[in-house]
Amino acid sequence: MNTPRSRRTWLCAVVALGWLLATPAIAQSEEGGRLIVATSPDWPSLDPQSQGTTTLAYVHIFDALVTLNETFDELAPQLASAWTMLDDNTWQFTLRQGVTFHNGEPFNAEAVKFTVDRVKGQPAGTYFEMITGAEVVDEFTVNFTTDGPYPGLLGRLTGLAIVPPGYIGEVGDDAFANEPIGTGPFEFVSWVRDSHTVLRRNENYWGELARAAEMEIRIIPDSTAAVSALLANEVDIVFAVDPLLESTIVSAGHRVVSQPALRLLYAFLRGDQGGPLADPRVRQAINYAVDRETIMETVYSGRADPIATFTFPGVVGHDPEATPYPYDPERARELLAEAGYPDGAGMPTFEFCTPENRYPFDRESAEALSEYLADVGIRTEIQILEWGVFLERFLNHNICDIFLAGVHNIPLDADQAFTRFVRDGTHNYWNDDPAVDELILAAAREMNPERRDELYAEVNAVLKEQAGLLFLWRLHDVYAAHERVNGFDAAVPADYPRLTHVWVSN
Amino acid sequence: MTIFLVRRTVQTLLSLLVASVLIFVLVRLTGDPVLFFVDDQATPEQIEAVRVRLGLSDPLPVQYGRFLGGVLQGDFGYSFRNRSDVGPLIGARVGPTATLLGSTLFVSVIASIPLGVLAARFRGTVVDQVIRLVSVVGQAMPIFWTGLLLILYVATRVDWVPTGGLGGPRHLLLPTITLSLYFMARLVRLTRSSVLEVLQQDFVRTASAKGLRDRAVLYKHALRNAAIPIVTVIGLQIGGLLSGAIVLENVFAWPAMGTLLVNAVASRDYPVVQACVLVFVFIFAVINLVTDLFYAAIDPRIRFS
Repeated sequence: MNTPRSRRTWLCAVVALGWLLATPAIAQSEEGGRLIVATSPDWPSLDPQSQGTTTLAYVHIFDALVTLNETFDELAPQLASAWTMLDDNTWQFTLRQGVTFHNGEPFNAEAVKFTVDRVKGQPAGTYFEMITGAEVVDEFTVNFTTDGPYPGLLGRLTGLAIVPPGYIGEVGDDAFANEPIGTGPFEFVSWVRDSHTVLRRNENYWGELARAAEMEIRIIPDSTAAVSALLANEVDIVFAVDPLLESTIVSAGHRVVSQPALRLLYAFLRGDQGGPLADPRVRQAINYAVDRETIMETVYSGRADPIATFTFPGVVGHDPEATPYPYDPERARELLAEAGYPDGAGMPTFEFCTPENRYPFDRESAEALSEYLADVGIRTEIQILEWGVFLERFLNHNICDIFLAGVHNIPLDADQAFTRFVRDGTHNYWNDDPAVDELILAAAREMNPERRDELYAEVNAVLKEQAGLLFLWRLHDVYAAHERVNGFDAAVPADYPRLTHVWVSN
Repeated sequence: MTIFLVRRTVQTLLSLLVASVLIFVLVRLTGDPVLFFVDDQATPEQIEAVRVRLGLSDPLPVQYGRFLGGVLQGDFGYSFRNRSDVGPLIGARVGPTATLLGSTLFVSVIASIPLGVLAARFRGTVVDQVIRLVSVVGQAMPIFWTGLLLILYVATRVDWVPTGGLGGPRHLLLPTITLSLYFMARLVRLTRSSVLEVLQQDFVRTASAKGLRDRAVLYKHALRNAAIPIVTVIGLQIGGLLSGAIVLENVFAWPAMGTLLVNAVASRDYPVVQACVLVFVFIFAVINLVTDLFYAAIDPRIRFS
């Protein structure tokens, strides 16, 4: 006889058994199937104007007027089909016709003007400060005015996602941030914060259709767990892979792909507080004392490139003649002696700060650098700062004597990289010379490309002599790709992660 | 009983109020949130404008009054970072947190008590030693380590066990095992020692002498009398489970309250931090209350008045 109690137990057992036996639907992916990408952290909002970074969701849901080409090293038209300069401060953009947002709303000059007006009040607005306004000329022509000659404008515009005025006006900013609509190659489907975002191919896209029919972006915070998910066939591409896991991934038949990032790493040397670091010779000595090649080879498994300046090939204004400091500990000791600190005598122990896991191998790099500096007599003490604290002290200019930080070059123009170093610039800790400011600003505002390159070459020479930073390396973005992934042999920059050419097959 | 409940409810409300003041002040000692909402090239004027927009330019008592007034009306404020009211943000995490805690509590209590009793019953034998060894190991292994081992050696090899992510019972399996192993270790050892202590008392000898079977002696007499410390520790340990779950959420990509709180702290998202901590305090207070009520159910001598 079944008492209610035993019946309940029985029911529980059946349910439990059902759970255990339920087999998952095995992902049947063919060309055009679902591409699953693992990354972390999640973005706090899907409003492209709420942050300055270009995320996976952003580059797929939205288009900008200008974009990066297929090899991510030159600017290319996107929603603007052409542009000309009417005068030094006015740019005229001809817009692509027949483009609609995912909800059917037409893309036109009004949408561009709305986007420019809106971004002024948003966190991303500081990137577009130089734009004084956008003026509608006709339905598909719009004029941008800047507060002075600004050759880097096109680069900046790669980060200005065009948003739909009608939709935002109708649903409001908050709803837009949770269910965005753009003109991009993928449409938004769903988002579970800190878990996953699902996108669907925009079948009415104005340009070449994306290869994958769906994209799922999964947030997996732990990097070992993310690679495990790849090995278990649960995800197709993993962002930011630890190079130490390479052999595990490769021996399972998958690939590790890397690509020079749009991000450079430096140690800033604070010359603004007096003391030994205020002497350019000491800062040069620090640059000579460090064996970058060895650190790149051992700590980064070779996945980094040496740099001599703030830019790299592909950036407008890059100086290909700039050469990095060589590793020369003898020269470093000589310079220290000249500056009055033979073998570091009379020098205090410098605080050397680094964030942890903000940049690949940041703490490990700081530790290696600290050893090299000790070799020539420069004593440092490593301090690891939580990122929030680091950022706050950095922006308030009360951070340590030496500190590790990255600078990214997404607009592919030298201006953003260099203008931070004018005397009252956010990244300046060494420059107190009005002539240097003049030079940097003249280069930023120079409209003649050859003259501009010359000016930036001069800036580089000053920079190297002043040695306001310890130039380190250009990082690589490292990815793992499942064997079934196609079109991902050349990787993408993590600061501009466009995957429209990637798909999975069985 | 009613008086007891009223008194405890008032106590709970008071501790929530004290906690709200504490967390409100402490979160403001962690640093300036405004810098997280501007670009690194922002001017002082832009920074000030954001400060006003975030409501952080008002005096602290005004800000606290606004916060408390909101909470009393069920409004936990607005998160600028997430472009969303805090209520729905937390609402979405209550489910995953409750599921994980619930399944862990269920599994570890169901498994540890019989194991503990078994170890006590066969004290000094191989059974006892094996159980004790396993619990020491379970307690010694850090949660993230156990989790990663399970992912590497189980999830990548067994098709139907996912490596992580939100989902149904399959997704819950490894996180629950990981957290339960940690939780069970303590519970098994405690059950064993409590039962052993009771087994040495006179009434147990009497029960055996009058011819009761071992099972009945163990479960009806010994365990019942050993239950008070066990229930106390379960109640207290739920706090530990909450913090252990934060680590676990990261390893298994199970975004619950912990992930929300950690991200909010890292980005100085004050409204979310405040609300999360208040919810944690609330959970903890309720569990303490439930534990007290359990005492009366277990031990007829305890009557609340």
